[in-house]
Order: sequence, then C-alpha cells, then structure tokens
Amino acid sequence: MKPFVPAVLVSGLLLAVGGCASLGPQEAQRYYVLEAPNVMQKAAATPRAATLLVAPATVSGFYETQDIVYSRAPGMRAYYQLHTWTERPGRRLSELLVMRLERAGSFSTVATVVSGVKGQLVLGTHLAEFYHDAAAAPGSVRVTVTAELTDPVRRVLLARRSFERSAPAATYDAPGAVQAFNVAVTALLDEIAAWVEVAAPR
Amino acid sequence: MEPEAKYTLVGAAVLTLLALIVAAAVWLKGSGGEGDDRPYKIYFARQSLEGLQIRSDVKMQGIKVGSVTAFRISARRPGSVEVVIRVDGSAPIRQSTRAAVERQLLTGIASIRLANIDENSPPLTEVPQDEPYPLIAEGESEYKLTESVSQVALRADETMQRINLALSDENQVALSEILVNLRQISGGMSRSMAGLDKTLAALGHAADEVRGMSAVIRDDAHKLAQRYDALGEESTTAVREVSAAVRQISVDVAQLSGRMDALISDGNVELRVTAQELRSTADALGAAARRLGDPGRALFGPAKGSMGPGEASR
Repeated sequence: MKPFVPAVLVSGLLLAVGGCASLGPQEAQRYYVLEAPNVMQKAAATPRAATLLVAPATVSGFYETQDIVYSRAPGMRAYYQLHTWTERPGRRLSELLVMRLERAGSFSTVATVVSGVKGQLVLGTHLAEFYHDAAAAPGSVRVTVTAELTDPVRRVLLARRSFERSAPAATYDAPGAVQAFNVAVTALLDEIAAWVEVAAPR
Repeated sequence: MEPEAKYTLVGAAVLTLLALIVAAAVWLKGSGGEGDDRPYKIYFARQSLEGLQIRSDVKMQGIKVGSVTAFRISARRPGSVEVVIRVDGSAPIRQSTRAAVERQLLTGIASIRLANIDENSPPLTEVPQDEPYPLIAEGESEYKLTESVSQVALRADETMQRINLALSDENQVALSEILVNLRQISGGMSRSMAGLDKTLAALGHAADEVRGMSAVIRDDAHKLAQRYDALGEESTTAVREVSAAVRQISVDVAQLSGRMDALISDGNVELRVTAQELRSTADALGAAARRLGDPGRALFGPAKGSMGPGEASR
C-alpha cells in the first residue's frame, strides 16, 4: 500500500498546478489611459471670483465599465475582449474636465464636489454615448455628453447643453479607437470649457 | 485479496469521533443556549419594526445584551407588535427601562435599544397577569427627523390647497411667486434631509453634536408645522397678511435647510472619505468579479464571436 501515497500526492500536486494554469493561449490583456493632450489655450483675462464645483459624471449603464465599447451595427453594442481602459471613462472624463477648466482659468477655483470646497456653481455631466462605431473599417468614435450648470445656492438650473463629438479611427482595432477617443474627448472638453465660460454668470 | 484494515481500530476511531461530536454539540448547546438569559416582552405601537429580524441585536448603552427571539402582530393590543427578547441576566433591566427601535439608515437593519430612564428604579421582575414575561415599556425613537419633515411637507401641501380654494384668482396670481419660492426652498430641505440620513448613518450614534443639532432641527420643524396650521386657519384673511406669513415660513424653512446643510458639511469629511474608499473598493471588486464571473472565459479565453475588431481569434 505504501507506494500508493506518493502517487496520490504527486497527482494532487499536478492537479493543483494544472488548475492554476489557463488552458487558453496567453494573449496579454492591454490597458489604455484615456487622455486629453494639453492644448495651449489662452487663460481668461479676468477670472471670476466664483468657485466652480465639478460633479462626478453620471454614465449610461452600458458604458459604466472599464471595457471599451464598439458597435458593428446600428443599435448594437459590444465590448472589446482584450483591450480595456485603465479607468472607467466617466470617472476619467470628470478628472480631465477639472484639469481642463483649471487650465482655462475662468474661475478662481475649480474643484470636485466631493472635495468639500464650497462653491457658487456646479457643473454636472452625463456621459450618454462613448463607443467605437465599427460598422465599417476603420470606423470612428462617438462621444456624447450632456452638461448642466447649476447654482447650488439658489438651486436653479443656469444652462444645459448636449455635446457630441466624433473622430475617425486610424486603424480598425482598439488601439486605433483609443487614439480617436483621445482626440474626440479633447475637442469635447474644449467645447465644454468654452460653453461654461459663456454660460456662467459674472 | 484480504483487506489489511483492522476492524477493531476502525470501530474505535469511529466511536471516538462520534463521542467527540456529541460532546461538542452538548458544549455548544450549553454555551450558546439560553443559560442565564431572561425573556422580556415589548409592545411596539408607535415605532416601525421594519428591518427587525429574529436574532436581531438588543443593545444597552451600545453593548449587545441579548437578541430578539420572536415577534408577531399583537392580537391582545390591536395596532401593536409583540416582540419577545432574551436579555443577559447581568443586564440591568429596570422598571424604568424603555425600548426603542434603532435602525441603520444606510442598511435598514434594525435592532432594539434599551435605555434606563432612572438607574435607581427597582429591577423589572413582575410578570403581568395574562403575560408570559415581564413587560418593557416602549420608548421614543430618537430618529424621527424624516417623519417630522414629511409631516411638515404634508401640512404645507394641505395648507396650499386650502389657500388656493379660499383665495380669488387675482390673489392666487399674487401669491404664486411666493409659493413657488417656498416649494423650491422646501425641495432643498428634502434633499438636505436625504444627505442628513446618510451622514447620521456614517457618523454612528455616538456623535453628540449630531444629536444636539437633531433636537434643534426637530424643534424648528415643530415650530414650522404650527405656523402652517395657523396659516391654514387664517386662509380667508387679506393677501398681504397671508403673504407675510408665507414669507416668514420661507425664512423658517431656509433657516432649517441651512442648519442641515451646515450639519452635513460639519460631519462630511469622514463621510466623504468613507464614500470615496467604498467607491474605489466597489470598483476594484466589480472589475475582479467581471474577470472571474465567467469561468469559461477565465479558462479558455473569450468566445470567438465576442472578439472586437482587430482582436485575434484564439
């Protein structure tokens, strides 16, 4: 009976090691940072004395994920399997928006709502669309954001506008889409910053 | 082939194991059972028991002293709920002890809080006639803020309807602007209340400042309700007087709203940090769960049909 014991141990060890190993090919998962490259823009001549608070962006359910979304047919969406964002686009968009508005210099302070800073204006955003339209190669990306500027003291809506941007993908794949997303988001943030500059009361 | 097992040894091992299991069961029964616990009964007529469960905690000065063992709609006292609890024998249950339902506002899980009004009152041992256990009286719940504001809002709505009925069209036009402003301010109060609930839950019950401020807000809400009542009774008076009353109400509501905002911002640092940590943790957990949610994908990779443009088929 004794030789049976080592055989069991060796088998168990092999099973354990085998269980840890993936049976599929080892293609690496790739992660991408959503970026909005710095564009030199002239700061506002006379910044407002007001503090602008940026609320975390709300996001349509399907896009509230790190997965990159594509669409092969109108009305259909799917996720890239091997390429993902490092952060959810909604959260990243809020960060980039704060940075963009700070650079614009239209307000004495730009902070997030959760920072605890007291502000006179609140900018809320909703990410409605954020996908790679891959119906035809190489396709293009579409980004739609609705922005609302509110006065939290008087609790009134000052302005609301929907922004839509599209940018062609360089290649028919996720890396090409990511580059296009960066371009579209940069243009969209510039557009929002310009709108806030006009819509915010002095 | 003759087996090598020794039946005596196997039998002894099995018997020993059985003996150990029985001993463990007896020990667990002894330590986790009723022991020195004492049963009490409470009739709750004024407080909601939503979230209360069998084995919910019974606490005294924040310490768990027992648990809920049974509850049911009372047949003896219509409109009440009978709750039977078992409390540790060393807990000082007195005739002045009052029971209240405490609820975690975030999770909705309820527990029963016992508090002694008079620490020198005699121990509660008397069992009333027709009752199986001594009765602990129902106390007042400390957390009725939302109810208070709901009542205020209800009264405000009723009052506005009465005013609309009593006043002429011209007067209604004159008042409409003021009433719209009042509704907006009241809306702000409701939102603040939602935030207050979260803050209270995050800070826990130990925050004396929160308690003190809560009492002030309660008083304000009461005062406000009285003013609404007065306005309802005077709905036939001149527009000018009504307008003045509504303006005063607006001031009260704004003051109330401001106090709650201050309260929330005072205690908000801990809440904000906790919320951010929770959000990050939830994100990380969600990402991990998505990866492990499909064992087939974890083992064999994504399905062929699910690949995106440019993604190599495995």
